[in-house]
Amino acid sequence: MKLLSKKIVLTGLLTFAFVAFIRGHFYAQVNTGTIDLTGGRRVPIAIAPLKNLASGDDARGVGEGIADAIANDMRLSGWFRVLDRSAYIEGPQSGITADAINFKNWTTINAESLVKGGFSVQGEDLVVELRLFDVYQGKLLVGKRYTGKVRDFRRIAHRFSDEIINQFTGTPGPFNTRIAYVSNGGGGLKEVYFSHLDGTDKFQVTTNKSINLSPAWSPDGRMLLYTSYGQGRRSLYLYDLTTGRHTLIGEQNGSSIGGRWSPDGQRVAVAFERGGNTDVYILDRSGRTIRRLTEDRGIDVSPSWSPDGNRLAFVSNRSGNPQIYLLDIATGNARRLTFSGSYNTSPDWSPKGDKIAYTGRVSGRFQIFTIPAQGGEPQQLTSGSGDNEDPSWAPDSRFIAFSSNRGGGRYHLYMMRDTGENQQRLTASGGDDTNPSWSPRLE
Amino acid sequence: MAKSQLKPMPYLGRPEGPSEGVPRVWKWVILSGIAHLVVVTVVLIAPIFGPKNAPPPPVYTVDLMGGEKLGGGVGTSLKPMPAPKPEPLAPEEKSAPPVQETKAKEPPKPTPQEIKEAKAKAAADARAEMIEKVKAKKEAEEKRRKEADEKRLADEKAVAERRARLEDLNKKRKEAALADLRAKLEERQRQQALEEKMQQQKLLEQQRAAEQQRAQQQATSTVAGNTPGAAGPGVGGTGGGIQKSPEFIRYRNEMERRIQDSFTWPGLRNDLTVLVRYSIQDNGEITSIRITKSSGDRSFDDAVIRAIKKASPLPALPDNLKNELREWEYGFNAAKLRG
Repeated sequence: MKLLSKKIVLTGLLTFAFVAFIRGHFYAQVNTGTIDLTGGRRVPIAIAPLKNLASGDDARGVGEGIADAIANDMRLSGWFRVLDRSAYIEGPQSGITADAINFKNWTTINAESLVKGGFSVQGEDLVVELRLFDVYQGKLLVGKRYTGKVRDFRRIAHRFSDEIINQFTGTPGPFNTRIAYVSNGGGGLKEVYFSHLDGTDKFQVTTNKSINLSPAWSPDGRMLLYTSYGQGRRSLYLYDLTTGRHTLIGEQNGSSIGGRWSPDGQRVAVAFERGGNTDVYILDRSGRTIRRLTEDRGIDVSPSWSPDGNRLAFVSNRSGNPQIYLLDIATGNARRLTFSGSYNTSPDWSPKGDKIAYTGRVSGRFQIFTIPAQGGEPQQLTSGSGDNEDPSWAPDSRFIAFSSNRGGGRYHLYMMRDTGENQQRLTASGGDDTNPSWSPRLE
Repeated sequence: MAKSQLKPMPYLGRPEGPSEGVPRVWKWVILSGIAHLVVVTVVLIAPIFGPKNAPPPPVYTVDLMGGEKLGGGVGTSLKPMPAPKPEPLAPEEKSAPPVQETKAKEPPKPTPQEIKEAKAKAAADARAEMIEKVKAKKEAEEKRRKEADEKRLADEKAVAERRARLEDLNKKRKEAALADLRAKLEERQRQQALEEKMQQQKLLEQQRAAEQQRAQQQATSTVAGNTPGAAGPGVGGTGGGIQKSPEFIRYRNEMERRIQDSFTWPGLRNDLTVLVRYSIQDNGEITSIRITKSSGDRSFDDAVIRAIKKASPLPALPDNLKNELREWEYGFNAAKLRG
């Protein structure tokens, strides 16, 4: 009986195996399954020097300059691994369209993405074509044609950098922007400057050889607010980039510090000291006080608008030491946001609205933190022996600029992902670069 | 053309006459019956006649070895893996010296022809010489024969002894081989059980980690955890419930690993899945890559296609698995590792 059942089982198995064998032999079945692929991994990208499409010499170095600027942006983003130009097989004068490119030359050096372009200079006018290719598919991902002045060639490069990042992440990058900051590197005490993120095209805003602080961009990127000691006391100024004019705004019978534009550009929030008490006020564009928002006896400073313009984050020492508070503008009610640490200052509300970045003191050192705007656990983004201060969000809410004296000595500007990853130094002036303010996207 | 092929075979042809056709058909029917019987008996009985405790036939052993996800994190190169096949029984037979050989070594016996000749010679001599001489000669001959007989007996005895010794040795060797085989099998089963256990534990751990992470994510909307990027055990597709062989799984794991390694995408989303169909050629080249269901995010779709193209060529398909490993339709999930 036992033997018989064994026989039956064996026969069954044999038949089964036979059928399976036949099946396998004649019909290739489709195997299915799933694979998890980890994002956030650097894409190897090659950025070729641009081809000169005109007859003249490239005396201003536009062809390489644009490639260099894009390469630097890609590196700063942390999303790309820029392949060394010396490894490129194709020269700069080779084809720049999909059908004229031998993509094998680029897969050979392990490039997955390729930027190629051409330019022509005529007097001061510049025309640039830039294309991004998927090397493995031999496919054009995006192509753009820019016209402008030769002196603006880096802006063209940064615009295309943002386009590349848009192709890979679905959101344009933060490179066609400017960063305003305070530096004592120019011989004066503390002056306001702005430049591209990579430090190029630097422009000095103040020249009063005094102390100038807290630059803040208008939502359209055409104006800067800053605080100056120029007149003997702290006053709020407005600088218009188009006209080059500086205008004193706000109340004069006290001291202003740290003005910030509302997201709609119609109002300014500022800390104003009068009679030994510092509170947050809202001004209109011409500097008239609309409202006094805080009235407690502590010091209330450093207002930062929520992206919807309904709330303000600010710093108050009403609890005994500086902490971040959120204030509802309509009701005037404030609630405390930070509870860990005994010294939390300089809040900056992310353009996306979900997080607030700030400077907190940990074991005697200043570090950058973010905290959910609705409250919760803060996340420490920087660490180490130096001080990291004054965070400023990029317009895409994915990056944060800050100043740091890490490595000893001077303060320099840095940028990092909002996770704290990929911290990269931006400036290298001889002085201290502090108080960064990241501009909105430029046109 | 087709018609001529359809012509019935001559030996099974329509009966042309009762006297010839019927017996011929019957002959074939009987022959075929016998053949069937033989095959069936062999199939049914053969396994029973195998030596007791002998390992099961190779087919089963190989199949049973196939725990899914065997060799999870195989190294870089997919070398032709030494498939765990059962030790063949053949070496035993070869190592045992065949009995015929010992027989061939026996000393040559005098043939009857020789004896006859000797006798005739002796008779002729007797006629010519004296009987004593004949007698003496006969005695001498007898003595010689006796001696030869003795020698032969001794030889035979020696041969028998040697044969016995050899048979003993053979038996011992066979037993040793069997014991060895049994030990190996047991060891393999133990390992298999262990691997399965480990696999289960890993799966459990992964699940637990995933749940924990999910819980964490829900608790604090800050996302900074590390998701284990490892592939979940891809469920074998339409194999009709047949467990995949280790070789299949190894190849599939290597394929998955290579695609994962080639994948570069700066994206931050983890809610995307793209379905991609592709084929693997004999030389390992991945061809006919096409998206059957887009993720909706072009950069992710592109990155997946790029990764598959970059992973090509894979190792050449193993000869015995060419069809099984040919066609693929995989879902690729964006998994967030870093914010």
